[in-house]
Order: sequence, then C-alpha cells, then structure tokens
Amino acid sequence: MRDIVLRERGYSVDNQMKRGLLDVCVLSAIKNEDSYGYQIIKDIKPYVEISESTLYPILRRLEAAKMLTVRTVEHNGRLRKYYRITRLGLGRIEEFKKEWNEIIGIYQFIMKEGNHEKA
Amino acid sequence: MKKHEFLQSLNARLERLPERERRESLAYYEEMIDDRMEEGLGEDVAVAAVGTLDEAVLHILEDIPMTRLLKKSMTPSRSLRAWEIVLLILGSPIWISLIAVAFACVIAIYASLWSVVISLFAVNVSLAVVPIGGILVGFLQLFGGRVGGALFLIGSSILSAGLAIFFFLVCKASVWMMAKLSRGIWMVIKRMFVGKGAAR
Repeated sequence: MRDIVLRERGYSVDNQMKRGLLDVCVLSAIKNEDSYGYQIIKDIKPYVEISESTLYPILRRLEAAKMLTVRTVEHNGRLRKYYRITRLGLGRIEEFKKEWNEIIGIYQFIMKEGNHEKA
Repeated sequence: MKKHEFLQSLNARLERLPERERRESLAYYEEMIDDRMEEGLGEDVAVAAVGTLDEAVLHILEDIPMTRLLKKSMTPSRSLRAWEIVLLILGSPIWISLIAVAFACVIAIYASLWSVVISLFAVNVSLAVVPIGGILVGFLQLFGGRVGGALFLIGSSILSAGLAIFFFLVCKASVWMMAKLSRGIWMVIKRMFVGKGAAR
C-alpha cells in the first residue's frame, strides 16, 4: 500500500536517475554493433521497461550530445535509421561504470545502517 | 487503429511543431510500426504496441527546446503584405506593451507563489530557533526560583520545537508542489505553442 502511495507521488525510481540510466542502456545496446530503434527496445526490455515514446527523446538527446550518429539505410523498400555509438558515447559508458561503483558503496552503507537499526 | 490513421492523428496533433521535428517524429513512429509488422504483428496490434497518441505527443514535446517552438510560432506561414507590416509597426506600442504586461503578470504570480514557500521556511526557522533561547531562559528562571514561569517557557519551547518538525514537512511538501506546478505550467505553455490538437 505504501509503495503504491509513494509511486503515485512520483517517488518510484527518481525520474532524473532513470533518465540517466536509460541513456546508458541505449548506448550499451549499440556499443558492439549498429542497431535500429525496435531492436534497441527488444534488447533493453528484458532488463528495464522502455517504450517507443520513451526511446525517441533519448535517441535525440544522445545524438545532440554527439554520443551517437544516425544513418538512414534502405530496408525492404522502406527507410530505417541505424544508430552508431561514438567515442563520446563509449566514454559515457565507462564513466557510468565508475559512478556505479560509488552508488554500490552508498547502497551498502544504507543497508548496513538499516541492519544496525533493526538490531 | 490503422497505421495511416495513427500517423495522420499524430501529424494533426503536431501541426504547429517546426517542420523538421514533425517530419522526424512521424518517420520514427512509422518505422517502429513497420518493424513490428515485419515481425508478423497485425497492423492494429503494431500500432497499439507503440503506445498512445498522448504519450507520443508528450515525449516529443518534452524533447523540443522552448526556443525552437517560439521561433516556429513567430515565423509567419506566408510573407506579410505591406498593410500588415505597417499595422504591425504602428500598433507595436500597444501589442509590445500588452505582451510585456502579460509576461510581467505571469512572473509576478509565479514569484508570489515562491515567496509563500520562502515565508513558510522563514516561519519554520523561527519555530526551530526560538526554543533554544526559550529553554535557556527557562532554566535560568528555574534556578532563580520562578518555577511557574520556567515550566511555561520550557514547555512552550518544546512545543515550538515539535511544531518546527511538523512545519518542516509542510515546507518540504510545498516545495514539491511548486516544482510540479512549475513543470505543469511549462508543459502548458509548450502545448500552447504546438496547438489545441497536441493539448488533447
């Protein structure tokens, strides 16, 4: 019940944090090979909920930040956009991995303090 | 809903968006629907799978900078005739003043709301600081033999401290509400520039 109330008040995974995480997820999805929108969603969906509407601004934001490039390719008589990661994008992934170690440390501290309270 | 219906509706809801943004948004959703249909999904199911029109419009709008929306809304769709230009120039003292006044009113109302929040925090700080002096003076009175006065002072100080804690929660909630209101106002202004269709 409390979780529902918190979610309704917007206290689920902080929106800003989720945005940042999804940006890195998208970059990771195109890290090893160029990919297209629907394939990116299929790759990410088993791990985190993402929709076409959510992906669109992410791709635009990453392109504006020069973390990926876009090219249009003909596919079965129609056009399809493929996204390729740039050096900046790869750098962002590495930066995220370092940040994540810090977050794990904070999480462990919070859990440790929580266990002390229960004791 | 069929693909062309979805795209037509989306196009209508984005009619006042800059041309490039509208074209790219439509191309993106068309590609998404086509990819799902290529995998064997029926047209209706593929359209439903990409989400609702409202979601699509909301995320497209969120992404477009306000400056680009402003620029598009101020760009005339056709070149102005000579009499229209003359009228614009002659009427400029009036319409510029009206726009400035409207803008000043919005800023004034917004600033007033935030000043209420700041006042709440000021009251909260007072409620938190007063008990310190109150308890000190209370104990001095106690040592001076004025038990009644001391008890009153100490009791009031503790009450004030308790009120400060409660009031802090009120202040925190007011900041959260103002932040949500600000975001809501920003989206309303953005939708004003995009058009009634997008605001649905």
